[in-house]
Amino acid sequence: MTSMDAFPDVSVLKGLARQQLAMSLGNFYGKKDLVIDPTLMTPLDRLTGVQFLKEKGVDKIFKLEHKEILGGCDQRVYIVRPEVKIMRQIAAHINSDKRAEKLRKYRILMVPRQLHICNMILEQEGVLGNTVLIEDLHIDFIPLDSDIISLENPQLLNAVFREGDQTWLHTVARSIVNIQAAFGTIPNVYGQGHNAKIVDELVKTLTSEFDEKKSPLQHQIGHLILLDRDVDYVTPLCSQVTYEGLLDDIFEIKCGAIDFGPEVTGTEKSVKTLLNSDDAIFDQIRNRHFTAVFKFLSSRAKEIQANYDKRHNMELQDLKNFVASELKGLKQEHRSLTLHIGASEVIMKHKTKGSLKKGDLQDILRIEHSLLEGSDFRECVAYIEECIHRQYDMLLTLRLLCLLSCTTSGLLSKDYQNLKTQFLHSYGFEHMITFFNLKKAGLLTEAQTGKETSIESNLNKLADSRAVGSAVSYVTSSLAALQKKDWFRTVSKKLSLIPKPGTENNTHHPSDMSYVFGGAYVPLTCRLVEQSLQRQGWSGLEDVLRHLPGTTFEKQEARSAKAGKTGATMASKVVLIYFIGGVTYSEIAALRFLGRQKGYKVLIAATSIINGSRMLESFVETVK
Amino acid sequence: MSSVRFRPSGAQPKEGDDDYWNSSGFKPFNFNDDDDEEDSIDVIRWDGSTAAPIRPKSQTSLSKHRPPVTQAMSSPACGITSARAYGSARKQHFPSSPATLPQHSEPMTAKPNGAARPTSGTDQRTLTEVVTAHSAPTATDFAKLETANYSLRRQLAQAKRDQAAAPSKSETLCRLITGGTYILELYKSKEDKAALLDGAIQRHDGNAILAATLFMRDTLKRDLFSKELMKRAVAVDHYCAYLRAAGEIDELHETLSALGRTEEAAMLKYRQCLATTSASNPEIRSSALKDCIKYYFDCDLRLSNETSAIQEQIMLMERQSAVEDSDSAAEKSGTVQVFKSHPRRDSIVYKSVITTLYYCCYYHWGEAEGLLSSPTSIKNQHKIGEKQFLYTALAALCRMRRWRDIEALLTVPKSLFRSARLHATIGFDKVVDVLSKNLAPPDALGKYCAEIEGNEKRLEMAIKLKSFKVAIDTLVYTKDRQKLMAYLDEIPQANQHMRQYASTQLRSQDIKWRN
Repeated sequence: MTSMDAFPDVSVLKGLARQQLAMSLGNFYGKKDLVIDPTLMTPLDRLTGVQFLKEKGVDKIFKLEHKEILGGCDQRVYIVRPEVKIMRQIAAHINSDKRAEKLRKYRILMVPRQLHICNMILEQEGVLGNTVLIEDLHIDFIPLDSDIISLENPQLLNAVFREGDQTWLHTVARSIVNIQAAFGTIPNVYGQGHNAKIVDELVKTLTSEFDEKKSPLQHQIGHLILLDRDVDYVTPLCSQVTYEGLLDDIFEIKCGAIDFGPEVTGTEKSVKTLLNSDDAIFDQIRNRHFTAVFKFLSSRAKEIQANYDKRHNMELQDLKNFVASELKGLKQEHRSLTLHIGASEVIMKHKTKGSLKKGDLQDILRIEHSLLEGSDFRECVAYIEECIHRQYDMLLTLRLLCLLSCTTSGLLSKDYQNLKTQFLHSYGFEHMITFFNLKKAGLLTEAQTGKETSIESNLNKLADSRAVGSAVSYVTSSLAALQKKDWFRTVSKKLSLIPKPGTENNTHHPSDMSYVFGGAYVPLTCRLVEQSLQRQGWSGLEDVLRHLPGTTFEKQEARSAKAGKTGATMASKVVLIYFIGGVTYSEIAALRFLGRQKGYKVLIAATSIINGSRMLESFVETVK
Repeated sequence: MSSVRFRPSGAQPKEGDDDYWNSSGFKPFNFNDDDDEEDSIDVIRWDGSTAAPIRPKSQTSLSKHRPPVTQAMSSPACGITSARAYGSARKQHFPSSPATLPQHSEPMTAKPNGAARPTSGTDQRTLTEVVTAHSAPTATDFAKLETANYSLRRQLAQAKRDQAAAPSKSETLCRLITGGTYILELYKSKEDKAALLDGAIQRHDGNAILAATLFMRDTLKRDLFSKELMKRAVAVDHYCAYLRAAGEIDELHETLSALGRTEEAAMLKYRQCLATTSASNPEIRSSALKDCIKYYFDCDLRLSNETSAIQEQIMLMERQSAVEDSDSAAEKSGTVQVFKSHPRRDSIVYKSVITTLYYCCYYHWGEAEGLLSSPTSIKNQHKIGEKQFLYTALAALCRMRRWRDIEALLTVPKSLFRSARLHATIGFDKVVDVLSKNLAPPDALGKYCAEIEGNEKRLEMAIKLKSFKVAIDTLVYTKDRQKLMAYLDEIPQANQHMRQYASTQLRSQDIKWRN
């Protein structure tokens, strides 16, 4: 395919990030130790290796922990996220060095930028001075694959959507500015969501404040679609059934890599492997519905066997060629095939047998489908109660609870209280804080019935009047948006997210994006992407969008100006979809499918890759 | 050092003036050189290569050695992506000092040069010409110098004022957003502070919003600050997020209370209460929780559900503490058989109600309700539903292998009109599922498997659990001969008894097979 060449090569971003790191380390002459924020370990691993760091004069590498670091040389570099807690830890290190009269030079590299509060905290702790230098380390996107780039910043979800803290949106905007610097200014921008709008405005501000001229480059990306996660909480709450999604749900994919334990490898050792399109076998199965995976793997196994067998009746010369060219590839495929077959077996076990704390995947899927369809409400509630009664994995129970709430626009007061009481009995009273957090994020809410008792409504009024000022903050107002009656039902009907019963969905040869959920549901976000590309904007969708949380916006460049240039027409088929708050592998699979179907090159950017458990984890109270 | 080299090559020794100014023209250049060395390797290389060809020629003109300087200057700012990427880190120190220096020195060097020119020109003129030329321009020259002097003074004053006065608010905000250096302390008026905050909110940068908010907090009177803060909901969000991260709980609580967000404030205090007592004993925690209710929950009727939950939590802790004490003592004494055969794994203190119930079903099944460790007592106190109780008790009893107790649990005693029968509120399919997942042996399962309502479900479960008799009976009951024949093959050869049973049924004349 010729258009393949036009595909923006995101590995450029990796090079830029490495360059940044090399600069920062190179500026600090001599031998030094490295102390890394645990949350940055894996992302840095993806960018560099120990060899690279050693070349830059790194001696020892430590993980930043609360305890003191013993030993090390007289220069030390911290690579950290700009957070209060971390600043305190660093300050503790420096102060303890001071007490021990150890003379050391420090550099604190903040990823991706230093914040006012960080410098303030370091100043308050009395560690600022000649020996401590603070610098920005502008690393934003980590390319996880040729079509996925991620900020790998999962804490953004909690900060932005629960606390209403916009600090990280700057990073999101900055990453877009950098993308535009590398691949040209993107002419068409469509967005949905409160934070998407902010990011769009921030991009403008940053572009002008950095005095960035309109990039002279011919743009390689034609469309940017910005979506807030809270536009669609339903999708990440569903169990995933594509191969890659299942791997993430069961084994957890970290920054594009996975750890297969002994149960998969069949040996004592676990194997860590990268999951991306370089692995030919994986590339073939990652987006498939799980039922279609096994068949492919077995036929592939036969092919490989046949290729191996070829060598038996080969002439010497041919054999030499075979060993030189084919054998290595075959061995690699063999290795990857073994792993994926092992993983599939484990997934099968999870699917049919269930376990003491997990429940049967088949039951769970049935309940999820009913919830999406809006049928058998009582049966669904009964199943969730059973999960609570049997003390199933808490995140599973919470996920179903949130799905129940999101698809019905909040639970009836009676159901809410009833489920909450049972939940607290099963998992601990401290989780009333979890319930509060989820309520604030709009994931698990109590529907306003309108038939409030007079005392309650009076109290509410009193509380409201005490809140001075008319401007209501986003976090509180988003609740109101979500409580619009039955919004999910309305939207799913208008966008036909639930395929009509009777339309047979072939999971082997899908005809529709709904295949990623076994034909039960088209992810809302992916439908929005499809519609906006088809309409080149949001026009005609106002009726749907007003039901969704947040604001809608679009920006288009006059099409006639660029028409005629061949590069521009090529770029008009390249689309970057940015998920603020994270994206799931199911959505990625659906968007890849959409791209193939409609002839678009799809590039997915996200603040992190999430699944139901990881999304909810950030809201769960951990105090015991 | 450079001036030493020039001296021999200098044509006119009399041109001391020129030489002086020329060599002084290097000064910004040298200075710049030093500055770059500190900054980065790349810049050294640039200057090294550019400086070398210039040195010999440098005498010729001042303007000639400016290009390299500006080139070095401009490249971090230019639009090339790579330069853009790492330029910004340097930007904050780099352009501010050296970039302005050459510019400043330029008018200074130019002025005396211009003044020197007429004198050097006089060399070729006659003496009279010199005298007349000398006397004539004095007035205008003086005026010129005067104006130059005036403008320089003005510039100096301006520079001094610039230092003292704050840069415009939008400039400061820009620096906050792009990562430059800024000084907030220059803004003295309340209006300026508020405008700064509003500008930050308008630009949507969390860092700037928080910086402006905290600056206000530190420089305004408490109630003025609150008043200004409360007007801006976005600032409140950022402030609260900061307080939470920094652990300033009391301040956060006060802010939330002032905003009328009582539920959030109460939750915060509840959380703090748990966090500070997580290592202490239950007595301390329960008294802390009682205070928590008294001060933060009782005042709001909307929190009545939460209040009663915390009260339950306190009761639970008291029970856990008592049971834990007596059980660990019993375990230590070594006289109680059950703790020897099934050693306790973990303390139950601070565990959930159901985990506690499970524990008590495991170790204290059948105890009278008066005892704190009695499962029934827990069930009644916490109003545990029948279903939940059954799930928990079944799992615990199954793990203990107390089959007779399970049977008793599932039996409705004989009444006047009905004999005793098996009954389970959760349905026998769930009973069998719980038992099998807790690794009950097949013979313990068979009995309940047979009780499953619905032929299909029963059959499915029986096949899955290899409860052969139930499966055969069900197939016979549904008169499905084909399936039974097929099923016969699935019964292992070792189990002759069941194979026999199935064959007998197949041969039986009493059954009217459907197929």
